[in-house]
Amino acid sequence: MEKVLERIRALAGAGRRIYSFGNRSDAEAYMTAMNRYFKGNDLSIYRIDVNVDVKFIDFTKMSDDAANNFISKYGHGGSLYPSYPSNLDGSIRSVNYNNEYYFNESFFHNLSITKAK
Amino acid sequence: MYLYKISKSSWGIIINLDIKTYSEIDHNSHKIGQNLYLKLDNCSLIKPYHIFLINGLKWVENNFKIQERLMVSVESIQFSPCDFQEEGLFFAIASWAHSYFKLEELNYDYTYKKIRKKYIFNFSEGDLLGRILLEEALKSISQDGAGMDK
Repeated sequence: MEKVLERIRALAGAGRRIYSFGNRSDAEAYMTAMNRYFKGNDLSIYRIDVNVDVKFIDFTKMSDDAANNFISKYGHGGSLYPSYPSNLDGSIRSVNYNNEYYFNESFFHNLSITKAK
Repeated sequence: MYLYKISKSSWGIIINLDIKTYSEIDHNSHKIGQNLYLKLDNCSLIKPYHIFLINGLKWVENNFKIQERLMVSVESIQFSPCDFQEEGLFFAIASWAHSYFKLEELNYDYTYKKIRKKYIFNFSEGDLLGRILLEEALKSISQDGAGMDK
């Protein structure tokens, strides 16, 4: 799995992060968008399985203001991606491609990642 | 690296720009104003979307005068489609220019329309140029087909 993570990190460019979506079609929509905006992409879709409980903060259940306040406090400051408090493993956000599931790097070791067929 | 960010929800528009300026003008660069040029060859953004950066810089170009020729080169641009709307490119480079050239506050605001999952940008009253330039960019990608599934 470490090899796959290294590959994802390399593909991601700067920083370590995993963007994931609730289903393959949302992931494909994201990949299509990346290819629409940027040249020279080398993207693949992976399947992620999680076998432990995940402590997500679910922004889809919060008001816009509350979500914005939290994200402004913990994330996106100077980088594209958040760094949440250590008691959280990641977040669920409603974005352009339905729900995005974001994992903190500290949670990576709990993810089982395989290349999607 | 210059960070442009707006957010009124769990998602926003977040664009990172790496911009350098040169006194030598590349022949492939776009002429923005009398002494101002914009080079976009080095960034990975697909060409149909260049118009947002070109027009965004044109929008603010009238607000300052430079004596010597200057080429603004976008070396890299990063954003995630999850936190993005095309209009952001226009305002991102204008905001960079505002910061770099120490201009007066840019006159625009934005609201978030939750039902449409979209940020709506408004220019100040009388800012016809901004409105025209942004509309031209949006029309251009809609004709090009680049933004068809938005």
